[in-house]
Amino acid sequence: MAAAGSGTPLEEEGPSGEAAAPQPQAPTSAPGARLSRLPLARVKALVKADPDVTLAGQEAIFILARAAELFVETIAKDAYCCAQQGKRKTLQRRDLDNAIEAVDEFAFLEGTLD
Amino acid sequence: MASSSGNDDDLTIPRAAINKMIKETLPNVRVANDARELVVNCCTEFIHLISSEANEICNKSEKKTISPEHVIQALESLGFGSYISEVKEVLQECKTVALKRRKASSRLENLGIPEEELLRQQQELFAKVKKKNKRNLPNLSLLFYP
Repeated sequence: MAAAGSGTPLEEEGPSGEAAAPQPQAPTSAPGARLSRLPLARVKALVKADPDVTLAGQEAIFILARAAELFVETIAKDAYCCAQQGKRKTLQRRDLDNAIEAVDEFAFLEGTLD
Repeated sequence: MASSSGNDDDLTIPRAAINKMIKETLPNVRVANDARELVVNCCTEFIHLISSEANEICNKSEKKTISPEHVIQALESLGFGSYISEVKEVLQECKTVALKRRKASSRLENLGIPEEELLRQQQELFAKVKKKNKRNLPNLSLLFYP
């Protein structure tokens, strides 16, 4: 079996780890792999919408998508706690507002509360 | 809903994806529509926040491309360090999948039939088909000129 990284130009990665190639594939088809619940193309488009951003590597996009999933899970759970404290079974917008105010790291969201 | 006007500022994560995540996180919980809308916007803001910070870190590092490491540092510096271990799992998965692909393609290359032999076999097949067609042509013409 030929060793991986056979030395053809396409197979080499720079020492800095900058993705010259090969393009890493989104973990989807392998059993037990994390299927990203966010469309990666859209995440990439959002990143590129920032005029200061020039290039973002594909792996960076994957992990950013995963972080965004974790963020949604976290904020949803936090908001649900607020709803339960209010003895409600339906999550309302104000539960999210409360969750945002309660957590320092969510301060960046205060501009979206309109 | 994403704007179709092409205005980048109207880009958000699709509502359906957010709904799915909410449902998986809070099964059997009703969520008001305006709450869902807010989650969509928050998610979008989060992505802007992290990517902006990662971009700054990238610029300071004299690299041109935002790398996973930059994203990880951004998460840490913005107080989302608790996400890092799970996020690193994604990276590991990427590398595993990439490695499998490389191994799989090199296995295919090494099936053992050299290209010249494959070409020869192809020529043989074409020749066979031509002969076959020549035999069949008279029958075909019967179809067209009964």
